[in-house]
Amino acid sequence: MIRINRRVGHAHQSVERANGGGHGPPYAQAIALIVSVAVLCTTGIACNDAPRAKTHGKQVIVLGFDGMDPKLSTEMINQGLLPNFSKLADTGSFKPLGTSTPPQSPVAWTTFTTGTNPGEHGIFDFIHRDPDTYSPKFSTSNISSGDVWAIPWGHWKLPVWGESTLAIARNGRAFWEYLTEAGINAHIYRMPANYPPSESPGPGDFVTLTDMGTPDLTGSPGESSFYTSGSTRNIKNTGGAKAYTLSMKPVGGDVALGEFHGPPDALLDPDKATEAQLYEPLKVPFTIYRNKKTNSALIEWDGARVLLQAGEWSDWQTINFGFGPTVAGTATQSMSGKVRMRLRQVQPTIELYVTPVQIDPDAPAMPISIPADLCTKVSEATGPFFTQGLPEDTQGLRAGILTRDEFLEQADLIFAERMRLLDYAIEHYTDGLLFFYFGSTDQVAHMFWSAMADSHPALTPEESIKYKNVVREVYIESDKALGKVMDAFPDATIICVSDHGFADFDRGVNLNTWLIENGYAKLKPGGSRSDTSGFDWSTTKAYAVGINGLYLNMRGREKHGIVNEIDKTDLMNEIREKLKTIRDPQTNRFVIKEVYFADEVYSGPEIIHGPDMQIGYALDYRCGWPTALGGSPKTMLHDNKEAWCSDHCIATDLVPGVIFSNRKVPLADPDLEDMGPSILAAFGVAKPETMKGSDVFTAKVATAQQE
Amino acid sequence: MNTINRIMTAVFDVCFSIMEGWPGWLSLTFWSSITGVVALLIYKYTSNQKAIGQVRDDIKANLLAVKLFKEELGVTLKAQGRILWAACRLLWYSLVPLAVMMIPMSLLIIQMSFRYEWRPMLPGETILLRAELADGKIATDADASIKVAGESDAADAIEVKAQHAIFDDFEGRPKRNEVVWRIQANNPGRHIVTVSVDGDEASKEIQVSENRYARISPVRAGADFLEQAIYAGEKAASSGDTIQRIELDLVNLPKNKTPIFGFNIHWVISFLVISIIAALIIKPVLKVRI
Repeated sequence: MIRINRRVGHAHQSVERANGGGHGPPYAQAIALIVSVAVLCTTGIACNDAPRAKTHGKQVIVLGFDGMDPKLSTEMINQGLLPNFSKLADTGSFKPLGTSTPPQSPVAWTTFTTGTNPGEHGIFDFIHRDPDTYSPKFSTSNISSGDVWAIPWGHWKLPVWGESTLAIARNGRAFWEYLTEAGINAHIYRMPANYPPSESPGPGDFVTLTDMGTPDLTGSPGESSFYTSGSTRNIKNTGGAKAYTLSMKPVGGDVALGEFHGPPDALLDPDKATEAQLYEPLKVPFTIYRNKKTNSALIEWDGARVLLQAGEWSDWQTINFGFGPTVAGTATQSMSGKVRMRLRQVQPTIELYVTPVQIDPDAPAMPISIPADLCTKVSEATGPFFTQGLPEDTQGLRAGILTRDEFLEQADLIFAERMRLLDYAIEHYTDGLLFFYFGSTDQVAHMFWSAMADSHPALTPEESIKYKNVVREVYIESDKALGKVMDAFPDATIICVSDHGFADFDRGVNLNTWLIENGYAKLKPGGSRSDTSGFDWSTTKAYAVGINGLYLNMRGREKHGIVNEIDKTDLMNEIREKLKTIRDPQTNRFVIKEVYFADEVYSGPEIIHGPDMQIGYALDYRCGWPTALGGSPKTMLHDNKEAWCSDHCIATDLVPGVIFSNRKVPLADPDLEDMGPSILAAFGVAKPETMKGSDVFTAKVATAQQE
Repeated sequence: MNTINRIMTAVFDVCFSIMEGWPGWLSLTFWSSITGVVALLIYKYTSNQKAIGQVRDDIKANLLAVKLFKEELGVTLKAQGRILWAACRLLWYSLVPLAVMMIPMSLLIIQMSFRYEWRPMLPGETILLRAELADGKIATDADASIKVAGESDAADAIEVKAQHAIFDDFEGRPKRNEVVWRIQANNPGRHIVTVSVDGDEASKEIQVSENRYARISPVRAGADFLEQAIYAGEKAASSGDTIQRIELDLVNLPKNKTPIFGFNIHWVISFLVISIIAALIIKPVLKVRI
């Protein structure tokens, strides 16, 4: 029988097969077969999405496990907890993998993707700064407003021609572009720091689905919502989670009113709408009917409804946000988002958690895949999924709208989704490169790694005991994913990499506070301490924005720069010397292990845009949260009592990643920069000049031949 | 209405059982083609073919006049006016066949929608089941229950995951008395669940199948006549029943898809286009003037 579609890993699969396979009597199937063949022959039109012929070409599979740590991996392999990783190590290699400077995921994965250092690819941190405004901005994508011709309509402007463009900020080509150009297929699933996705030149077949860097529907990295009929006083403002008060009808009754929040109306005319209107989010009202007896709530909006018992997660729910001009009170445009909800409780107060509104893979408002309908096909095959990058709601846990247990429930849902996507990826892969990414190893470790330590300021002894094995359990699940790939492709070259390792984050260091205390920066009288707007730029020589970055206020580069090029080196040496002598009065330990100068660790044309220095914190230390956004709180050092208790944004040599492969890795100190050249070499494709790394699989052999 | 519904459903169940193993696009093409041909025959025998023929000839003659005398404004306008009048007469002659076909065509589309508009639930899927109560009836949670009633059904074929009753809304919004269950389909089959509220019982059919063209009944209608006509798959409630409408959550009820040669268009559009094409192809053979 003719199969319309290939589906895996989900109940939908059986539907398709049932249609194709049929349960009817044999004569009916025979008639169907004859008629269908006749129709297809006469029309010459074949059904779409038919599986391609297998070419039996070379198979190279790369699994990315964000933040997988070599020390913990070694320990668990020795304990026999990671049988599949162990098998790779036994038949091939397992080594630490040198990470990027700084060891942050966008920097490291872009280094992996391009085979170049940040001086070439231009991603230096999660957060960059605008030299004109000193304000922080996301590093991995840029929005540029092009020429737009629009028709005015009341408070709105309807674009007729032209549009603003969203582009990836990375410079240089991804290594898979060389592969597809050479006719080799490349299937890249959930590649970090690769948003928005871009085409890869043929003739090789190319598909990709984005991850880290992909925003939610509001454009933020992920903003969850918490609705309560009680107080929101205990909810911390972390910038990634918001709390809203429900209106009870009648007061003390069983009906509550609230609103789902979406992005602002992008069609509003900035010249006609007020400032408040421009930033006002689109809203969809909802009603909660609670039932105290059954401990449940029915949530209704826009004709849709979901019934939840207290403590339950909903399936994916669709919310349509109307925007643009209205006709008879109804918006003429709409965009679709998807959420999952968790009803925390219905009494004494109602508490409802709602995930960030995801870009709906069934009707994406922004591009998240190549080809554009790949996300829809995946959704049809595996069910809707978190489209936002790194979806584990770490900000919700930090803010207190999720408990640690609820966070882990969500992490389990996400991992299960990822496994269904892996099934899809396996089913649709024949040859060439398959890359598949897991972010849970990183996100869960940020919140639970320190439970493995003896103590941590953010964890009670009971919590440490309770959550001691959480990270190990994620590694064990990751091992099962690897096992699935090894079983499916026994002859493939399999490589597992991580971008960095992990460490405890006990103490926060507010670098701007230190710069102020040591006379390198100054605040205006009464200036804000929460961001860079409070700095007096006429006297500030250095400032910190981003997690590891430290910038000099350079004349000619920064808008109000005062440091001359001639004084730059002396100033940097002076700051480095002093930074490396900072001791923590609480422990008497050095706070900073290394300070990297840009021109010492990077090469390439982008150096001028990055930080002048990268701070390599010592073990147990990291920059304080306010520093990342340019803030300068009064205290330089403080205990980290956040749920985000572990990190990796420290000295580069302290947190290497891992490389596992079923092929020998003779190169002594493999590095992320070597991965691009190695994968190209595996397919016999020459590495371009911009890639300075070596082929990890043949480097030693080549050296021996030369000798 | 219940009797008509029961007969129609039984007839269509038999008809569709012949095509049980067919791909959706093929069965839809088959039904659309048959419909087109039958509709053409109905048109032939219920319309005034002779008069329609004359009108068609008039139209042709006037089109020729427009072409020949395009320089003569008066003649052209007059011919166009006659064409317009002929079109109106054609419409008039179509009214009888349209009136004859309207009801059977509606019944056909309603029955087809139960196969092509939605697909049955799959084992493991959950959905909301909502029972609306008659005005003045108040449900209490303790009274509301649900059980699977089919003869061969395992007790857990349909599993209740959550139950919820709404007794009222707040001031300014319409009163509502309803009970909502979230149910999970566990086993394939055509299950009958019995909804029990305040001592009264009503049944609802739930289709769980991996055959996406198995007939489903999204709503067990209440006493409203129009609703009974649209949701004809089950016996409707009568006006005195405590439990009125029982529906599967229509927003989340999985939509069916019937791609035709790779084009994923709504089945009604496919149905109309294919039936028109079939009718046009067979028209010269049956010697029908339309």
